Amino acid sequence: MARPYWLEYGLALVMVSVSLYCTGRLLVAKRWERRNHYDVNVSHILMGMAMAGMLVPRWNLVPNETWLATFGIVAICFLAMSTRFAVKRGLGGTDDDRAHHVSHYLIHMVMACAMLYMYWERSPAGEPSAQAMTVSSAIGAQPDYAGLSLIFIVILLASAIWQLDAIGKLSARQLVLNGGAGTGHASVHHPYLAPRLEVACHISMCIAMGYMLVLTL
Amino acid sequence: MTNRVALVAGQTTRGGEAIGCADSRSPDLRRMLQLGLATVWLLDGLLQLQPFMFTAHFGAMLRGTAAGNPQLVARSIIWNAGIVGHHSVVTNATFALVQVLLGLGIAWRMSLKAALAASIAWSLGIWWFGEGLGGVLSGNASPIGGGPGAVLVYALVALLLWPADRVGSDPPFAAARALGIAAARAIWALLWGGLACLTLVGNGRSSEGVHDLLKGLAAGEPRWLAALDLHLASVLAHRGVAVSVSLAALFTVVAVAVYLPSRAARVSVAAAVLLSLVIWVIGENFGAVLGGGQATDPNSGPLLILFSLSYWPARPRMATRDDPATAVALETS
Repeated sequence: MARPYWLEYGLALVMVSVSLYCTGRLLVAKRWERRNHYDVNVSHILMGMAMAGMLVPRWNLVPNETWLATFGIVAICFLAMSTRFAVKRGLGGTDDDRAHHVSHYLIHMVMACAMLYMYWERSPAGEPSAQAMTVSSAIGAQPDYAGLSLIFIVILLASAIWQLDAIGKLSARQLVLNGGAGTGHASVHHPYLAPRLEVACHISMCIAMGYMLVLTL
Repeated sequence: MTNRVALVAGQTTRGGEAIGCADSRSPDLRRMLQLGLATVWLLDGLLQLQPFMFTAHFGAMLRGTAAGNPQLVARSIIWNAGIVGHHSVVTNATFALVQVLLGLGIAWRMSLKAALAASIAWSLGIWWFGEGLGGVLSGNASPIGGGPGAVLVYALVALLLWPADRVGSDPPFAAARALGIAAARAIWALLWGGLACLTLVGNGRSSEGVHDLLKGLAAGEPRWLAALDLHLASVLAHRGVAVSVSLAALFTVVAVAVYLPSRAARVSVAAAVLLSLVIWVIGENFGAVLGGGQATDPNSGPLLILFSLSYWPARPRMATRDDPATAVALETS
């Protein structure tokens, strides 16, 4: 069934922009002596590039098997970080900025798992030589695991909505005030780098991923 | 610490209203439900972007909802379906954009009121033009299948979650905050009582009504869900009347239970949530979103759950020094 190519090019462009922006964050954060979520930015770069390649197959620069391995590693890393955070600070604990909880790591683990799912879903064992994936390849099929798509979609959209609700309290100034008591001098002189833009990247990524998962239903 | 409290308090009131957030760090139940509603709108927007919706078939699907409605209503639906069918890409992209913006607008505190108001208007528009008034006038509004139309419940939920406080600082449940206790209870009784009535009228109460509805759902669903549909359809064959009467009795009990004391009300809200969940899974198959790319929303189940949770009896608030309002009172006393 025909799908709106303009929408997929548009979303792919947004994803490339997110990747480029996050690359820029990695480059300038140290130079400007600003704190940054390096793990999140790296995962946003990878997911942005991979999703752009899924939406517009010609833009897929890396073989699907490589992406599968990459997101497997990303998922494991975030699982390890979630576990370490939960052990160190408890399930209800917060990060130094007092704004991020264990869900900060868990949601990125879920996103990495969703990427794995989308690659796996379009690369069945019977078709090892599957070419560059297209989002529409699974449309019309109703596999038994289709419910998994719905679960991923709901989690990602809920995360996007939750983050948008919280975006007001994530200004650099607010994070300094929140973290001031915990880390004192360091947080005042090294505030976070544009935290609201980082959240905006997360929101756009969740929505784009949600769209791609909707197409697998 | 003083600065932090001031800033947090400033954020809660900057939108001009008590947004339903005692502390911006931990949203209260009403804000959580607003975010739930926003998530459903966002999901609707993305479902509207499925390839099927950009074809003339979507217009034909809308046209189908005209059947059985009075002529005036049917004509307006057919007129709208014609426009959608002829300009499917533009109209559908607009529908999707509006729904995504409604979701984001509810989530962003500054635009909460405008988005909730727009969502009520949009819901009523969809109810008329997209759902054919939910089949209420054509006798096809069985609550088991999503009657009287999911979007009607969207509008009700938006109304109940309106960011205003008429009851004071200690409302018995979240839904009472905007409209007052009596009006909120009346809406609950009206909705669940209405569902009871709809279960007993029209096609739903025929002896094969439930069987036909469940059997019809199986097509296109994943195997496990289709097997569940077909199994239940065979079990409930020729038992439509008994199922309808039992369900109507349950709906009626839930409807009146809102007037019971807090503890009993809690049980009735839990029963309402469970009932909504059962309807969503068995009667609606998750809104048929797993059925091959033609679902426009997750149907009424999730909205009935949000609606019910907004009546969850609240615990009386404990005064603490962390609460800026009570802190001032404690300081001055």
